[in-house]
Formats: sequence, structure tokens, C-alpha cells
Amino acid sequence: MTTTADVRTPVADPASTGVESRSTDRSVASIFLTPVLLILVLAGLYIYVHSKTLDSIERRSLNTPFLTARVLEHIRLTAVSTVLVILIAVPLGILLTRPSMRRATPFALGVVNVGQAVPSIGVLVLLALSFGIGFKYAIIALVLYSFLPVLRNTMAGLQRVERSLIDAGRGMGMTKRLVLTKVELPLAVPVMMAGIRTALIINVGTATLATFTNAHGLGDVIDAGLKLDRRPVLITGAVLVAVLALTIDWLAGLAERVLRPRGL
Amino acid sequence: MADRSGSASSSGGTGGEVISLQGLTKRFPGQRENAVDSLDLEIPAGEIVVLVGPSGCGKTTTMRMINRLIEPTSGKIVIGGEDVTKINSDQLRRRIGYVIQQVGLFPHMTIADNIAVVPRLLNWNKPRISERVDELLELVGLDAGAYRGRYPKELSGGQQQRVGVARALAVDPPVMLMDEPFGAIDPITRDRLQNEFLRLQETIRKTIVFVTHDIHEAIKLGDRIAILDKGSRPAQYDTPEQILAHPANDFVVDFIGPGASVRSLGLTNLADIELDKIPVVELADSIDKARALLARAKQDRAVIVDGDRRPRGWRRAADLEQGMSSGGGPLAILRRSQTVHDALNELLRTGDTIAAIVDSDGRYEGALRLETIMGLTAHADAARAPVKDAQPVAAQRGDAG
Repeated sequence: MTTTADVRTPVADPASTGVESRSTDRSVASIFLTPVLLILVLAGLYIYVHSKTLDSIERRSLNTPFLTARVLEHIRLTAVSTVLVILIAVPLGILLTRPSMRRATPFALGVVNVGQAVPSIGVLVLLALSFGIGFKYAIIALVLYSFLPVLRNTMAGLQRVERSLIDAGRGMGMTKRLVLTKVELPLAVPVMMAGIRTALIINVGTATLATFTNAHGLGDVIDAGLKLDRRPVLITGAVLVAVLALTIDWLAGLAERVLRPRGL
Repeated sequence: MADRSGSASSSGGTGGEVISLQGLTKRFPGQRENAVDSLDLEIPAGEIVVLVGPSGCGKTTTMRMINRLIEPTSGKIVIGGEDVTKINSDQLRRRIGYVIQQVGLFPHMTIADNIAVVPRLLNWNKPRISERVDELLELVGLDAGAYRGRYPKELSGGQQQRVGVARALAVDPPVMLMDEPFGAIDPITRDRLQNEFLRLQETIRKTIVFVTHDIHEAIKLGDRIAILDKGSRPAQYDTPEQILAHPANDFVVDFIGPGASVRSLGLTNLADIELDKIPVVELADSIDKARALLARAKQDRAVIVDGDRRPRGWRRAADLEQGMSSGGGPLAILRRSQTVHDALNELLRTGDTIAAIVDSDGRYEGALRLETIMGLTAHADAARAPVKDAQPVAAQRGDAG
């Protein structure tokens, strides 16, 4: 019969491959469009700042080591809070979609909804007032605030998996755990990733407010620009936050594309 | 016994195993009546047993209790002599093939990976899995080279269900459960898949429990049919021929519906009946010879065949005046492998009263007259003695008079 080796024959269907390659062409263009635009914006910002003669106050904010430190702080706030959200919300979402937990679902969603409904600055300030200030509490606030999209999308992604696929898996003798890891989670990945992407964007934006609880980040630059009435500082802070947010969104988009299972 | 049922030998048909349901009962929480009520059913090895009944009769529940996707409230399931009611249900399901209406192929896995699910659960090594995948794809009529790397969405509904069947057969289980597997497929493809399925079963000889609500499908596929009433109570459990000819009670009569005699024609192959003999005239023969043949046979017409004995048309004595090559309407031609039902259908289509029956090479073997078909149904009707005063019969009489 056939050789035992796993022969990967290319799909010999001109119609389907044609469609596929066309759509990839278009998306390849869009993948490169965003970074090009972002680099142009940064270059514009650089030219703008250098065209000005900066006073000593401005120079204190607008120098490479200071800005690099703020950007890194901002990334750290975003990354740590998002990872924590994923670590907590994804397992919780899985748990809440198990048939045995169905009763707890509305209650849990209600609680998480409250976190989302309170304005982010309110959560930050309330936490700062009741616990203290600094990185740790900023992180808690960010986690609370971006929890809902990840939880809700994890649940929605899992609930959208067709019952017949789970039935087929169980009917073939896959254990519940195998059905979860091999069927339900891979199929839920696109919806889950959309939630994680939303959480990332929320966290990049909200991390700007962390400056008010002494957790630094790019909010420091914007805050300095406002308080000291220095327009170049304010613009630099705002543009950097915007570019960082769009970069992270772009990276998340790439991740979505890579992690999306083939065949869907 | 137990070790035989556990082994899943590689290729070829191990054949099936007897399934015995003993006092099988299911009551869902919060319901007053049993969904399945103390069902006793013996499913012979290597046969297709169709569970058929109105919706809500418990046929699917019954099937899903055999692989314990639904745990029975009480009763016993015995497969190949082994009581499987209490053993590990995941292990049990790996030795029972399972095919569902929605097919349930995993969209994120290739066709090969879909088929390999159960072999992987049983820790087969890679070369063995790969070989088995190719073998199964060929078995269900798909080119392994072209399809193993594709994803389910790239296949048509009919192709997907073939893969569904291949996946269920992956570890050569002695028992297969099929829940309306062809229900969501267009009628033409369904008919073809049913025929292929019957051919496949001739080689694999599995014990197959097949659920459908379609009595036509049950009659076509079943070696035996269990017509189930509420609570999965068997109203009749017999061969299709027996059920059509001797329905046990009014419920069965109602369920098989009017036209049972027509449907029973679908069970009779043209190869199994005696064909009518009419004169055969070759195209090359003279008109006089044809006329003489007709006169001698005392028949109203003759069949014209060409040099390869392929039927070309009918000629009545009157037609012969106009020469050998003219006259005659469209010709109903059927192969001996087709059924009497097909013949009747063809006659209705051509508006003729006689059909030519040919062998697999298209050579003329004999004729089948409409009257002969009528005789067959009359015979079947006479056998169906205990029919109640059904309305269709009265209506027919009214029409005639």
C-alpha cells in the first residue's frame, strides 16, 4: 500500500488555493501598513521635538533615558496585568462553562460586570485609598478592570463550540479533559484571543492613569506636560502612549493570526 | 470472551458481536414516564438493526445507552457476552464506532488527524496509524493522497460523512452506532451513500445499530427493523420483508403508512423474479421473419435488439408494415441488479407497459410487463391479511367506481 512515512501531499485544488493566496496577499499588505505608519509618526515626533529649543524643565522630561524608563514601566504595567488577567480569567471561564458549574455563571458574571462598570480612575483611586499606592495596587486595578472581556470571551468561545463536536469526541471515547484540551479550547481560541486583545488595549490605556497612584509609566510624561504647562512634553507623552497602544494591538493581531487553528 | 471484544485487530472484518439489551430502562430526572421502559432486545452479530419510530419514542436514548453516553437507570447491556454496564465508559466507547448526523468532524484537524483520534487514544504507533488512515480512506472511496491533508470544511457534506464513517471504523470496532448518519445529506447523495454503506457492510460485517425516523431508510438498510413506540417499546422487531408483509399491529401499519406494497417492491431485485418472454428480433432480420415470430408466439409485440443484443425498441405487428427501423416509443431499460420498484418507476416515466431487462453488460435478458408487477403486489397484499379498514383502500375503490 502506501509508505508508512507521513507524506504531506500539497492540496491539488486550484480553486481553493487561489482564494487562499489572494486573501493572504491582502492581509500581508495590512500587516506591514501599521508599523510603517507608526514609524512615520515617531519620526514626525522626533523632528517636531528637535525643531524646538527646549528649556531646562522640558529637557528634564524629553531625554532618552527618562522616556525609555517610562515606556518600559508602561509596558511592564500592561504586560504584568494582562498576564495575570489571562492566568485568572481563562481558567475561571473554563470552570464556569463546565456543566456542573452552570448555576454559578450568572452570579460570577454579575460580580465581574461591577468591576467593568466602575470608571477605571475610580477603581484606581479607591484601591489607592484603601490599600496604598505603587505598582502592586495599580496592577490590581488594571486586572479588575480588564477582567471581564477575557472572562466573557473565554466563556463565549467555549459555549460557541458545537455540541455535536463534543458529543462526537465523547462518543469516540475521549475523556472530558481531552475533549476540553483537544477540541473545545483550540476551537475557542479565536474568540478568546479577541478578548485578550481587548484586555491589552484597555490595560495600555488605563496604565496611563497609574501615574496618579505613583506607579509611573507614560502617564508621568503627560502629567508633567499638563502640570508644568509644557506643550512638547504633553504631546510627546500622548503620542508615545498612542504609538505604544497601536503597536501592542498590532502584535496582538499577529498573535491572533498565528494562534488561530488552521481549518477554521 | 472479554479479551476477544477488547482486541481490535487490524485490517479486514473481525465481524460483529451480539448486543443484548436486558430490561434496559432510562428515566430522566423530573420526568414522570420512562424514556426507555424495560427494553429487551437481541441484536445479532454482523447485522444492521434499525431502530425506527416517531420522534420522542426513545430510539436515540436507547442507542446512546449502548455506549453509555446516557447512563441507564437500570437494566443491563451485554456486548459479545461481556456485561459492559459498569465498566469504564471511556474505554468502552473506544471499541464502539460512533457516527452522528452532524458528522462531528473536528474542523481544526486534518482528515487524517480526525480519523486518527481513537488510534491515538489507544497509543498506536505512527506508521500503523498512517497506514490505517490510508486504508480507511480508500475503503470509503476517498483518494488518500488527495484528502488526508485537507480540512473538513474543504469537503462536501457527503465526503464529510464518508470520513465520519472511516473515523468510526478506525480501530475496527465490532460494533457501530449510527444516529441518522445520512439525515442531513441531500436525497441524491444520500441514496448513493446508503448504497455504498450496504456494500461496505458486506465486507466489514459489523454489528450496526442504526437510528432513523425514516421508514424508507429503515427498509432499505435494515437486516432487521425494530419499530419503537413510546418508551422505546418494540411494536415489531423483524425483517423488513416480514414487517411490510405482516405488520404486527395498527401502530406498525400506521407507521409504515400507505404504499407498503409499493415499497416492498423496492426489496425485490429483478434478478430474483421470473421475467416475461417475448419474441426477440434482430435489427438485421427481415420483416417477414419478425412477423412470423410474433404470430407464432401469440404476442402483441417483439423486442428489437442490435448485433450486441442491446435492446433498441419494441415493434407491434402493425409497426412492422413501416419497416424494421421505425416506430416504437421510448424504451424502459433496467439492469437485473435494480429493483422491481425501479422498474415500476421507469414504466411510469416512459408511459409504457413493458420494460426490457438487461444484464450488467447491457445485453437483453427478458421483459417485464406491468401486469407481472401488479401480480407481485397483489400477492404481497394478499399476504398482508390483518390490515384494518384503512382509508386509502376505500379512497381507491371510490376512484375506480
